[in-house]
Amino acid sequence: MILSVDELEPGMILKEAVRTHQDQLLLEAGRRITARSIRVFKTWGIRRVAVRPPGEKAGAASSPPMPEDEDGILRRLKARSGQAAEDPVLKEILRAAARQIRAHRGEEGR
Amino acid sequence: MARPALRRLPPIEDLPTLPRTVLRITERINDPATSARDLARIIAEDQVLTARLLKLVNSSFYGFRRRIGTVTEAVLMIGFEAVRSHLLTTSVFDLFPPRSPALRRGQELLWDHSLGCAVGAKAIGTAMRRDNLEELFVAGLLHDIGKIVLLAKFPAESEEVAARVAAGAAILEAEEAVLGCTHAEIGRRLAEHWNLPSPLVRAIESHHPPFAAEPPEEFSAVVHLADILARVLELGSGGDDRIPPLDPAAWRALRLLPAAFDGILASMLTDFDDIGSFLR
Repeated sequence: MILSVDELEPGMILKEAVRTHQDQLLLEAGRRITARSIRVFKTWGIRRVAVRPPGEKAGAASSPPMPEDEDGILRRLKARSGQAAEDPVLKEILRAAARQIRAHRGEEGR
Repeated sequence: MARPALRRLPPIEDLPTLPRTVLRITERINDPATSARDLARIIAEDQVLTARLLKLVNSSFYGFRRRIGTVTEAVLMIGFEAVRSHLLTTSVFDLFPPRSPALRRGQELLWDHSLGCAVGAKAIGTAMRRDNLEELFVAGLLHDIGKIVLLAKFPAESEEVAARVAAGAAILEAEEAVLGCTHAEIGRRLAEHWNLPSPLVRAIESHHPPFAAEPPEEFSAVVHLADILARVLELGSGGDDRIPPLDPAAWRALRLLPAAFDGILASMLTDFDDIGSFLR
């Protein structure tokens, strides 16, 4: 369904990518809209946006995996680091990153 | 294995040029005798740059209470280095218009990765209490400029390089085998062509271990860590999604404590959203 930017609410999921008049990507299809993305759309003069109808799940192929908690994020980061995850400094980085990614997502959803 | 796509570096005429105004601004900022008014005069000759600068200083990113109406005032309010880094940033983004939808996606991810490194380098510099934060920002932004050139000119080979890196190969070796030159070499040549300050040129040339100097120069070490942090936070993509090992010599050169990571990563996430909304 197509909504005007004023009707958007954080948590809705994009059906189609949002691009500026110059065709620059602002947000990909399948991503969750946040309060911040609504502000960005307004700044760029976006008027209408296609979102998924409520109740329809985000397609697995188009939306990135959204781990619920810090541990989930940490597991994924460790998997991407391979052997390097054994390094004590990188371990600290990954732990701090999991905390901050979690906190940042929480803030965006508000 | 197929023959490398390039036998030598591409000739300088094949590399993109920055707008003349931005080159002049870069030159003038290197000259200590330049005043805010001199700089404003050059910027004002270019309507697009003027509009961008005024939009930026009047945005929530700076949050000044009153409206800034003139370029001279804008230069005075945010400083020479910030003017240069913002104009350079927006102009460099314009240099590589995507040629096809398939390429566009890869380019956008790479730009996002570069922006992630830029905010990372600035946040690391802040934690180290450095005052050349804008230069560090530009170093992060442009560190992979050679990759952007390669992706635009040799998309298939760039994919092959990314696949080899994902399988564990070192990036510079993979590029040498597939392309016959590295993104670091092309980046250095471009940075020299654009008259960028020499610490920046050297950071673009040497941001992957093994570094050109031992211990690595500060800019190289900062960009190396910023690259890892941007990958960890998944800001864009550097071509593959591996988180590479942190080089011990680079880590020692930075003299940071692990306790600094939370602050650095938090400001990267916030700055990335704020600055990204101007550029995209």
